[in-house]
Amino acid sequence: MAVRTDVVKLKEQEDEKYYAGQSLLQLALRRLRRDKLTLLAMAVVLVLILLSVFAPIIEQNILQVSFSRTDPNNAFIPPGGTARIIYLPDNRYRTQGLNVVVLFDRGAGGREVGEVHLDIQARQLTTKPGMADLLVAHASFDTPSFSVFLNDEPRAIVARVGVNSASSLAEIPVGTHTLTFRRGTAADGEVLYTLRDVEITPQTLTTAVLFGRSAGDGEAVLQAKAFSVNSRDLVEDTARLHVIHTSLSAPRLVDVRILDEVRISNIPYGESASTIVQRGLFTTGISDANGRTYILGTDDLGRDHLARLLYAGQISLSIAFAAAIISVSIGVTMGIIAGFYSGLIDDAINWVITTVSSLPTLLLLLIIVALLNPGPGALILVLGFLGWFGVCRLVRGETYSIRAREYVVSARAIGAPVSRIMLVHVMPNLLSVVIVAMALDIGNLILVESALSFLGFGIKPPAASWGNMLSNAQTFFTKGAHLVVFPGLMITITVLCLYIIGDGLRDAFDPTLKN
Amino acid sequence: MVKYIARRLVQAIPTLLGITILTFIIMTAAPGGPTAALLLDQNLTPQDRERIADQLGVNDPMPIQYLRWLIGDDWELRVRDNSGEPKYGTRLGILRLDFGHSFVANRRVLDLFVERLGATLELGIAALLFGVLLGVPIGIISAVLRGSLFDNSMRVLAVIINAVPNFWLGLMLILLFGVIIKGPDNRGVLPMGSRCPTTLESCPPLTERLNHLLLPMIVLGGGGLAAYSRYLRASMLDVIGQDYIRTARAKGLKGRTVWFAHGARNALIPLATFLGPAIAGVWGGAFITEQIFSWPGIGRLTLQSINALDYPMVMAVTVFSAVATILGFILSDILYALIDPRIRFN
Repeated sequence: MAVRTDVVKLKEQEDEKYYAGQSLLQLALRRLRRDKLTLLAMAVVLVLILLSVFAPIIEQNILQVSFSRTDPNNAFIPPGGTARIIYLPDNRYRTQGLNVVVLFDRGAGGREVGEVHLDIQARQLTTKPGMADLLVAHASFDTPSFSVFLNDEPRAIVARVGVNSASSLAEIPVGTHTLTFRRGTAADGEVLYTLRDVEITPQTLTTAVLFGRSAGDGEAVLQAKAFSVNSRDLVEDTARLHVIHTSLSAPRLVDVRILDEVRISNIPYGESASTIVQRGLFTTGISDANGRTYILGTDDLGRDHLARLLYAGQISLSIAFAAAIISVSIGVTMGIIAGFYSGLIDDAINWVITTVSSLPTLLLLLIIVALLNPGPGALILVLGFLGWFGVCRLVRGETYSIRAREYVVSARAIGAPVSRIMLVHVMPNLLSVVIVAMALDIGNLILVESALSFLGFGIKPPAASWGNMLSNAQTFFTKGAHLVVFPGLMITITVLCLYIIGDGLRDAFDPTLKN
Repeated sequence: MVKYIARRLVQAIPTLLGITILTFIIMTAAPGGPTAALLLDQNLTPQDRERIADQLGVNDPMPIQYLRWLIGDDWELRVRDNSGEPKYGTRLGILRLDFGHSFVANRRVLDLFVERLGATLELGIAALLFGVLLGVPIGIISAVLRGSLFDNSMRVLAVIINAVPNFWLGLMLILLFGVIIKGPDNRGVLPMGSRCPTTLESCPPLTERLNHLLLPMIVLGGGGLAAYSRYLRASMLDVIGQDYIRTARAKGLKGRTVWFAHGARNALIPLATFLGPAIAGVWGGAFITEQIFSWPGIGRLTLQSINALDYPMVMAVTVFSAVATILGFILSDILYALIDPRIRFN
């Protein structure tokens, strides 16, 4: 027995050495410094916050977000992929030539970019008055060969244009025409596309291109368009390069480079551009603006995915932090009042809490958000005002036990006002509980906000939130799985870190734990 | 015992009343109120509008409207006829299970509700069973093998499951099993959603469409699984520290007998208190799970109603979910009191 008492005494001395002269906060910091996992989680959250705060700067320097688009099916670039799509070495531009390059999709899924390249000499072009030249290119990989009929005449002006090829030049009268693209060669063949109001002017070369995909890989997006280019100015020593962009897989804006010089920039999908080139042997590369690498790829509208994630983090994190501050403030106030006064006030607050918590939080939020349709600011208020119940319960319990402690009883005995007891004696002792609750609260709020935004309430596009980036995820399963993975991963990592921080802080603030 | 149950039921009344008041306030305080959509019709003359508003009673004071919604208006003579004859109302009020007609489907709310109940119950019960049947053994084994690799990895896993948003978990599972891992027919090994194969006219019995149930069940039951395993681990550790366990060991009983016959049986008792929160949790998660997996249950119906601002439907759902949650909590209290003889009914 005596030995046992000695051991207890020894332990108490040790405790005293450990606690002597240290405030709870200092002790907590000392313990926290040894808790590697919590420190790591804090570092991760800090990095996320910094990244989201500086997202605009990062975006300008490295990432570049472009919000323009020309086609909804455009430009998924997988993570780590570059936007450089095609490289055509050694195209010889002969003088007085007209080079027509049609970019299009090839391969079953239309994943690769191919090109139809035609080199036409100026002397091949018609010189007859009242006539102009028409060229037909077939740039739709999974469409059979077709013929083109002018103004519903029974004879095809251009017959059997196969995949990845172009017709020879056809002379047609100047004026406005209707071009009918028919499968096969018969005049009653299936109509693939009818191109109306094609203006043919003298001394131009018009290229009619059938492009897009037929049904098979999702929706049919087959269409035809006529692109005309001036053929008058083909003078000595120069040639004209006419690039037509009809590739869905290519980046939405295509540049044409001759050697390293950008000669034409930003050709949108379905448009064409031309330039005069000097004669000689050139290397032509076709890429998007800088041929830059997308670390996490791009989304369905060609926007940089990483940049969107950072912007979304900015919104998701700031909403969660602001709402947590509101809900914790309300919860602490209500909790102290309820715990301190008990009686009727306690019962009333309790009743409100039990009532509201008997509904799933998400249901209540969904209804309120659907009715009020709040912007981000109002959403913070809604989340804050509906999120204080847990903290309130916790604080109420703590206050209830603190109220019975000797120092509170003695403070009351010497006649300290209630406000002083609450602020000086109760509040500081709630600090640890509140900090822990806050960390967990932020995590929960991120989950709730993302769920709301995912369901189409909450943050609405084009503003990004980690939740609403997943709204259309189901349509990307086969095309761009990276769009499904990363936003959820960001939520999970952030919430996980906040939970770890909450747990770590709880341990750090617990005076009964030593290691 | 009867007295205890009666007291618990009486205690639930203020909460329920609070829910009805809250629901009513939210709905009537919304911009335009619940009848805005009905009165928007271009073909109505101002007199028509006035008459309809009168018939609906939206011009009366709030407390009266609330009472009508609660207990109906068939006891009340109201001049609401074209001919001007005084007539009794026809509504029975939600206390007599008359939730009115859905604005969108133009059918009785209760009918719509009952129609969808089966699907939700099927999914909810499956998810609960999944959580309990996996979570309980994991919790017990974790406690027995305290500090082992299994214990630690299960604890880490439980924290991670809590941090994963369940809609994303659902999407990832669909991506993995519905798209990436392919079966012999070159489609995903598991269907991407819906309760029944879409090629069939009617739903076959549950045993033939377990593949449809599997993923939603995991998503909806995952949170419960993590909670049960952690809870049971704590409860089991508590029991293991008790004197009777030490006595049993001291008497020389085999470890297995002590852990499972003495320990686990007692550790399972607090699980009864989990029924209430579990029902609430499954119900709360059903909205998202049913939405992702196109599961034709009440959760999905609720989301559609909220989207369309179908007031009678939404009000019914809030009242129903409050009743379900409150009954769940009462049931678990009663169960706990029944199972654990240490609980006194006072």
